Amino acid sequence: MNSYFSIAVIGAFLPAVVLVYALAPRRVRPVVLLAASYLFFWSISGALLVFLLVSTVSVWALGLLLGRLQTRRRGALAVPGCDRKACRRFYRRAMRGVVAAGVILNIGILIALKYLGFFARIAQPLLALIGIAADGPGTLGTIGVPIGISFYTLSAVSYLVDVYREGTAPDRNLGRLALFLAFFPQIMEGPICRYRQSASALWEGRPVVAHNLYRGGMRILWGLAKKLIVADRVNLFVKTVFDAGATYDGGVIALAAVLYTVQLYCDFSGTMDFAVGAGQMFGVELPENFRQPFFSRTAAEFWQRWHITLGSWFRDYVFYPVSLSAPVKRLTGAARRVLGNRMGPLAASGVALAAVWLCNGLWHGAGGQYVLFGLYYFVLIWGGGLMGPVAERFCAAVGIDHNGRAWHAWQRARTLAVVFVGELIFRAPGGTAALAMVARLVGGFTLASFRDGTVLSLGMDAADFAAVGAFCVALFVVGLLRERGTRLFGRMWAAHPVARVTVMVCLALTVVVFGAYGAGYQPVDPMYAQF
Amino acid sequence: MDAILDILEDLRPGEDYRGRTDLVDARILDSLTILALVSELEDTFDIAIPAVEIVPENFNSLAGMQAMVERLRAEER
Amino acid sequence: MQRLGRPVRLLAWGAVAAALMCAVLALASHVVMPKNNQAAFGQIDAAANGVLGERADSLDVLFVGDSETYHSFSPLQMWGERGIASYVCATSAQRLPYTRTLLCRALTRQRPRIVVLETHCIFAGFDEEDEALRALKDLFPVFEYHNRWKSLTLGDITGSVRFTWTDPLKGFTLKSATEVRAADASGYMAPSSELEDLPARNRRVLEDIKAICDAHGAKLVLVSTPSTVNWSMPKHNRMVAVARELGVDYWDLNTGDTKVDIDWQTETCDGGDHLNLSGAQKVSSRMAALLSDTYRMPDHREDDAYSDWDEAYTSYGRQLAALA
Repeated sequence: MNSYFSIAVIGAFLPAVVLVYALAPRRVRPVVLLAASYLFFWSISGALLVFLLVSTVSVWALGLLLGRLQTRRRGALAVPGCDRKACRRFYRRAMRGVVAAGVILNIGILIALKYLGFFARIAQPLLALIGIAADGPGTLGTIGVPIGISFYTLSAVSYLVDVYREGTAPDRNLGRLALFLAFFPQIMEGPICRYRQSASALWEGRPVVAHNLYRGGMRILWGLAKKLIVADRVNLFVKTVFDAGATYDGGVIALAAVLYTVQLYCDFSGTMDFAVGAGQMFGVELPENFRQPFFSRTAAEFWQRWHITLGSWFRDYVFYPVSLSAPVKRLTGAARRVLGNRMGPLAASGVALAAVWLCNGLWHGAGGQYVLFGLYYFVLIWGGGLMGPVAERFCAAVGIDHNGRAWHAWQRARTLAVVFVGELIFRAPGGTAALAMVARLVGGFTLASFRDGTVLSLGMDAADFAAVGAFCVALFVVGLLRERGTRLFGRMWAAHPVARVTVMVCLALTVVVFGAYGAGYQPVDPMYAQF
Repeated sequence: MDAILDILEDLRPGEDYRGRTDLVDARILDSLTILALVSELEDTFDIAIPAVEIVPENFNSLAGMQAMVERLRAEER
Repeated sequence: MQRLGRPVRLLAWGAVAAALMCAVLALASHVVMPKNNQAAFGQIDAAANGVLGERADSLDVLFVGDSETYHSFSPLQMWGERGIASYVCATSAQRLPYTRTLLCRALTRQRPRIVVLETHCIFAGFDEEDEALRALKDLFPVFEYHNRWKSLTLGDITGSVRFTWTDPLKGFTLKSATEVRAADASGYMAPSSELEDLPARNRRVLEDIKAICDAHGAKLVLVSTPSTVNWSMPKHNRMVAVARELGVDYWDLNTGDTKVDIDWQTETCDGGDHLNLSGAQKVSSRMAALLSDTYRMPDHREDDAYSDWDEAYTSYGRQLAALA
């Protein structure tokens, strides 16, 4: 069961869980989900389940402790004549200590399991310089990484911080918190849920109804189509080109960058379709992780539409706290005096943005290309923010309508190019390889490979390109409809039952026939599960 | 109220700040605008806005911002 | 009644959808199935499936297994030496579920007396996912041949599926016949009393294969072909035990009285993994003698109905001469 899109999960595990859940009494249903989730986790990561349990119990206990401190503070403030400022400061310190303990524990486990090897590799030459021979992460490297740790750790931390910020009441129910963190459709690749988005809905044990089964089933089929028809097919070409890096000409590398972006989108958003669809079957609406990202007009907007739950996590738990910390506030004040009310805060936000993008890059993995990827978006988004006013003035001066269609189209095209190059860096096997491929893309750009047919010899034939192209057109149309507020799967339910069944069967048949599986294709493991 | 409105008009002119209650949810105020807004509010009203306060409820509407400012001013005392 | 109404309606619509899905898959399967069992028609593993083109009920022996099998047994040599009519239904890196599929497929048109299962594939690992997908492919061939959408013609929709082609070498391969890469045979069949682990899943399918042979009146025989890379005493020991439990004959050509003397310097094409032609000729000779002397397989060389085998044998001789 190392992928949601396997016969074991779609054909056996999910239907069995839905059936048991539907037949169980309401109060037992959440327990069914929790048991199924732990079984799922166990089947992939075995005894590493312990780490998930440690995270769960730690944020549960610390959350309750925070709750108790909040109650005591209310009591102390209610006493007439108390020094309110001193009282607030005292409790703020205590609660900050509790949150820090929880964050250090949870992020610490994440870093220990995921990154120590990377830091050891960097540190090794330095240590060698001063005469210490280190041999990598030692025993930690052999433990392995529990499935989904990068995702559930962020959810756990967000719960604790939300309790501290008093946006969420501490939960006494350990089971509810456990299910919130472990829910099996989201454990591998997210979405990274906030407590108030999913916890109580999951624990309610809502009934299974036909409408949700259909909607969820269609959503999962749609995700399966993205994964099998596009992502796994495109992989043939992408793997060929990226394995040999800069030996191909710029035209081929450009095509590989485009196709890899398409692959990543179809793989990741397809998996999200599974998560959301499976959630719907249990009556729960998980947050969406994608909102037609390729319609974005700026790099910043792209990140509000792509992997939304990660972006908003970094915004709420890194960007704002860093921006509003005392030293950065002083910096902002100074910048405002020099640069004015508008540019000042923008310039000063660079510090917080840098922190966000370093974290974002490293979150994807310990590797030079990921740091480079973060840096790339930091420069573009910060620069884009600073250049915004300049561009407006430029448009006004040259006479371009800043809100016109032509200008928007140009912005969209520019953003697409930015995204393609970003994913090129992201996919490259290491930092230096990334730079070499970008250099080749720019310096060695030629369409020769398209003219002499070389592109058709790199793993995908003309029919493969046609299938990918046709499905991308379908994706575009569906995206355009959603952008205008039309939800196809919701609408389908209003149609005649015969039409509903027919549409479902047709979609399933399309996947079976046009899916890239079996002889000649390699199944690709879910791409974001490795992050 | 008017002071906040002036700040908003200065930062991002041309929006219906009085009528809307979804300024954050509809992405009219993005994170960079909110940062600039926060530093202006802090200066104007002589308050400190901690990260805890940066939640959609406080910034979705003019009334929400007003309420937050008043609460923080009360706490400062 | 109302409490019952909704689930029943839901089940009814579910059944309708499932039935419709099956009908559509069956239809699609017909369309994408190769209309003849030749590689040029899109047949996967054409050599192994060539058995479907053999005259019905004409074969006495079927060889099944992985690449060890088609590198070791030459049906035409056995024909030349003993007049045995046999065929090799083997594919590279075969797993037992596929062995079972190919066997069942062959048994629809043949009634062999002996089914020889080469033992290497018995140990090859597979998971429930592989087994489920195999079952799905057998039920609805569209899961196996879906990729033929790329080359569909009108004839695929109107035509019917036929099996007229058979492999000129009867499933044997001459691809690496003359290649030589010496093996390191130092630890080959080193004495050991250990038993190789045989997963329960493999054991279950093996038992199923035995039951299928029984049901078709065929005798299952296990044979281990010589290989320094793939065979060992622990595997031998496990096979001896399994054969006793299943009540089938087991012949190990790597050790004991039945050992075939392979020169590991010259008779393997890839360092002891597979045999080249010279090694295969020794094994085929031994196998032919075994089938003929021990199992009394009939000699068809004087039988007019088998005149096409003589032609195939002549052409085989020409190919061997061309190689030398």
